[in-house]
Amino acid sequence: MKNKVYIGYSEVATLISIMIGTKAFLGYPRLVTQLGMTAGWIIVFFSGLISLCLWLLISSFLACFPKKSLTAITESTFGSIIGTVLNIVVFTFSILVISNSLRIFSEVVIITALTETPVIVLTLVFILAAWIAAYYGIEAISRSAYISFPFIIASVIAVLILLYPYYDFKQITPIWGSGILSIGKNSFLGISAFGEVILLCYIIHYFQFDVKKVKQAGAFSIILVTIFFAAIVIVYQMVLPVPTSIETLVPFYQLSRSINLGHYFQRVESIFVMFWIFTAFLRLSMGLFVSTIIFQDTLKLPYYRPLLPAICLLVFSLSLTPADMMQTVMYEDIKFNYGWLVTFVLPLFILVVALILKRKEE
Amino acid sequence: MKCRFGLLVLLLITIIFTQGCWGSQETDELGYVILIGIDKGEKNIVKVSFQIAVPQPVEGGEQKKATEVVTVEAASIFGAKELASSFISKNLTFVHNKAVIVSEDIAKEGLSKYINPLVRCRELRRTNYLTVVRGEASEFLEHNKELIFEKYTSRYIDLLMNASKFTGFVPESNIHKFYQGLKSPGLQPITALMAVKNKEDDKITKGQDIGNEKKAEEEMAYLPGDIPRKGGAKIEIIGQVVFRDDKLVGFLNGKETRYYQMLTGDFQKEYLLFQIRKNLIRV
Repeated sequence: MKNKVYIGYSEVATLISIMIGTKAFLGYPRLVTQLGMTAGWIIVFFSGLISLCLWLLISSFLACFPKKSLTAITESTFGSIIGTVLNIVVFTFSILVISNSLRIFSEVVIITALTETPVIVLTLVFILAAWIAAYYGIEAISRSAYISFPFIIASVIAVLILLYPYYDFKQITPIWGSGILSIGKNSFLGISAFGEVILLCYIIHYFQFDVKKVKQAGAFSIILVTIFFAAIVIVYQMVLPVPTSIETLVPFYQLSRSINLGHYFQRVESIFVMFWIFTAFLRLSMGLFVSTIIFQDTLKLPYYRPLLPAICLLVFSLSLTPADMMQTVMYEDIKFNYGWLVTFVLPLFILVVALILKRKEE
Repeated sequence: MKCRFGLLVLLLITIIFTQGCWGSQETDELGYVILIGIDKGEKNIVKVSFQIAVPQPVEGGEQKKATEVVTVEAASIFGAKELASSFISKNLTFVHNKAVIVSEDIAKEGLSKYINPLVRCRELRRTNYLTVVRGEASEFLEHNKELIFEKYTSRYIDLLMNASKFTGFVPESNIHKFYQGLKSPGLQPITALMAVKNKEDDKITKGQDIGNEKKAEEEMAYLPGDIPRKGGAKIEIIGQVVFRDDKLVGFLNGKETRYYQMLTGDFQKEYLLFQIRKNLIRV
């Protein structure tokens, strides 16, 4: 099964870009604005830079273990018990992240489009769709990401450009916003936003190309998304200046609602909502797929598909655990502050230990 | 085969559940509010007036009136909207609302408590115009029905506000701008000013002879309702309202509004009259 998967560099790069970039349609612009005030975009820029450096480091270490996923490296390095425990930790984290994303996406759909639909129905629809996509595997998901990518990018650029009557560059001053120290601290914490790039390490054995290309795909995604994140945050702050921009729950939707170019060009957000929902679907599908693969590799099972119903049920149930949307947003903030421990620090630690042991053996 | 059947069932479920049936509302069940007026209440806290679009008959022919104005007293705007449902067959919605018009008294009292819920209302957009009217908002809405060049008042106000770009008489005045002014530490909110032209004033009376220089200087120095004119609709939009925090503290006339825009950098283009060697020159 694994050898039959054929996906190229472009598909992987676009898929990871979408995985990271989906946050732009959720609360990310508000969160960085809250932390950096008018310097929110600087936090994005530095977080992207730190993430890029960490990714280059991690992918360089990964190159020493050709065609071996991080799950396999963990187990071979730490033994079957500790290795399995570490892999289960990563699996749990990914499940919690997907279930929270599932809930947030469903809540966002309620806010933006289907206001009266119960949240349970939307989570059910999303998880069913993600199940189908994950069943068909990474090839189907990455091809869908590749095909939809130009449309998603075009929709984002269109929103940003159409808001030009509101642009006021004074709104992004003072440049250093909440202060250099705060920016430095939050830029480091903000690397969690780029954590999805690490997924590449867990599915590396699916790619036909070498680790060097995987490294490039990850780097490309981080750079591209950093540029888009920064542009979105700048436009967001120019349209909705700092005190008001902290109040908005779904910033990008609020931006698109503000588009008003004369009598005949307004109320256009419904056109864009379609692309954002598809982006959410791709993110959930890929998240579900990677989580299942991590679990499959941890348990050393020959197939992943039989695991999908159980994992879908788990994600679905967990997504309905938060009492309301505010609790879900709070969990997302916790992930923003501490997620980097699992997404960057843990893989780096595992790879460093693995390399030391490998050198010793040699 | 089994797998394909299963997929088909899943797809069907997905299609059925994403139709939005929970929130579906037929177009003819909705009453589209196009203007909201807010006044001080007599029996309750606030008197809210809704100008509602009257749908055209399906069987053809012309509907006599394009809009209907209803006024309800309640403790809040949304309370008034719900109360209105007790005597209006349609479910009122703000999705096509164009402007929120506030009376002078309410503006003096403070606008925060009325604007904050509107900012958070999903149906209402921040691009809605927000203006203050001299006198009663409900009276303004009543007079606003008698239009000449447009059928719908919302369109009329839309065009008047847009025309101000070429005259400089009216500032950009919407909920977004007001809220921005209210929340930003370095700004104070402003809104456009409106009024109804008094019937008794519907003739141009001869004023005092103050000399051409003074006349040229004061050419645009009018507040709404005071423009010497004859004919046209009864409503006038000229000048702006100045707020300190959320409370009205004064008016700027048409001339002062132009100067204000020059200072803030919003001034675009307009004609200015000067007297040079006893000749009036327009540039």
